[in-house]
Amino acid sequence: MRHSMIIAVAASSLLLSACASTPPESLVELKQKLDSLESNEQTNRFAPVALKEAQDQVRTTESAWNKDNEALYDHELYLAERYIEIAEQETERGEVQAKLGNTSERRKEMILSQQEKEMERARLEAREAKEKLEALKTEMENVKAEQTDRGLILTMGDVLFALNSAELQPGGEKNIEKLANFMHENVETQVTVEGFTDSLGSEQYNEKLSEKRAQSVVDLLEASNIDSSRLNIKAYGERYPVATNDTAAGRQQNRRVQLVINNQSDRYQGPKADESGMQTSSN
Amino acid sequence: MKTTKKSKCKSLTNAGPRKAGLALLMAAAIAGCSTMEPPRNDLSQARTFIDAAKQDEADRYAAVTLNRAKDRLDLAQTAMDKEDYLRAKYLAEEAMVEAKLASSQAQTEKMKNALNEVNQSLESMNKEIESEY
Repeated sequence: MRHSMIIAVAASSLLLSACASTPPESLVELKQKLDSLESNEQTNRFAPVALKEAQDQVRTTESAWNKDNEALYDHELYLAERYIEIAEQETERGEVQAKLGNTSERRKEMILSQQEKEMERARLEAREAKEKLEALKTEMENVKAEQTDRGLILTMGDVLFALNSAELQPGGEKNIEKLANFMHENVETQVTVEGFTDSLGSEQYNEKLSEKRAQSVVDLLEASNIDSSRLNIKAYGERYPVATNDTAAGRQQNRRVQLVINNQSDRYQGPKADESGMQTSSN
Repeated sequence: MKTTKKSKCKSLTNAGPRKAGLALLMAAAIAGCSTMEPPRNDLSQARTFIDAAKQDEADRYAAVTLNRAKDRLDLAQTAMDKEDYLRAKYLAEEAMVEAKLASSQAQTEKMKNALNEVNQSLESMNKEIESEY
């Protein structure tokens, strides 16, 4: 084909390299490949530089053809084919990269929606726990309930215990049963049982009595299958009075057991001196 | 065109500067001989691009193309040794463009792998979320 062209050139006595003739198949194919690259939107978007290089090299190849230099033409054609392949590669890479960008968006959305679901679940759980606590408060008799920053504190008054004894009265036992049920339903909770007395009698005796009373509450909870790891005892004796020890009524208020309910994740904090709005302290 | 330094003539025409005028080309043709400087720059450029392709892990992701680049560079060196500078220049340029292609192929291949990995992890994450709720 190339030879016939040369003959044609000679015959028409044109200048050596300024001939116009039918281009070879290889050049036609090359230009077709370039056409499809040029009309590819993604190539224009992701590989404009590579496309420009391919265009330039195809032009150089064409002019090599026109110069009628076979070795040069073959060489430029070789380069042009590779430049076209490079532009194709970069187009594909751009597309893949765009998809990667989309996946990171999707990932963010998934994480967000998961977080929302978790928050919603936590909200629901918190509301349920609060409702159960409210129910517990109203169910327990002769119990004062207070929400403090140490957790929910249920105060079981002296009337729930036998006089000078750690033994619980029937009303007190019922309360502990209810607390046990609550703890079964709320497995995350833990209870610290705090024992307190009035200031009559020796300090040692009071300490002991407060500990015994707290212990009998804990024993009852354990008997209701509450795991001991969820139960603590603190015996404070006559410390932290909530009322004056100078009157019988005040002393009765000071003889008490407090149940501090909090979640296992929260650390137990001991009582504060001014917790119950106590006006006078005595020993 | 470079001035004649060597008596040996390797090629009928010197196609180095592509836009060389027709007259010059013809003059060269008439003279029957033209010489050129050894294309050392082209060979060293080809080497640079082959090294860059290796950096892109073309050994692993575009081995066929990278080998073509290396073979072309070897041939270019052989042509240099034979003082066939035009052929050496062509081969070096071809080695360089093959190396560029190898880099491009390796980068694309790695990007595809990354996409696959991300898609897989997204899928397992999705399954996890669905099983959890």
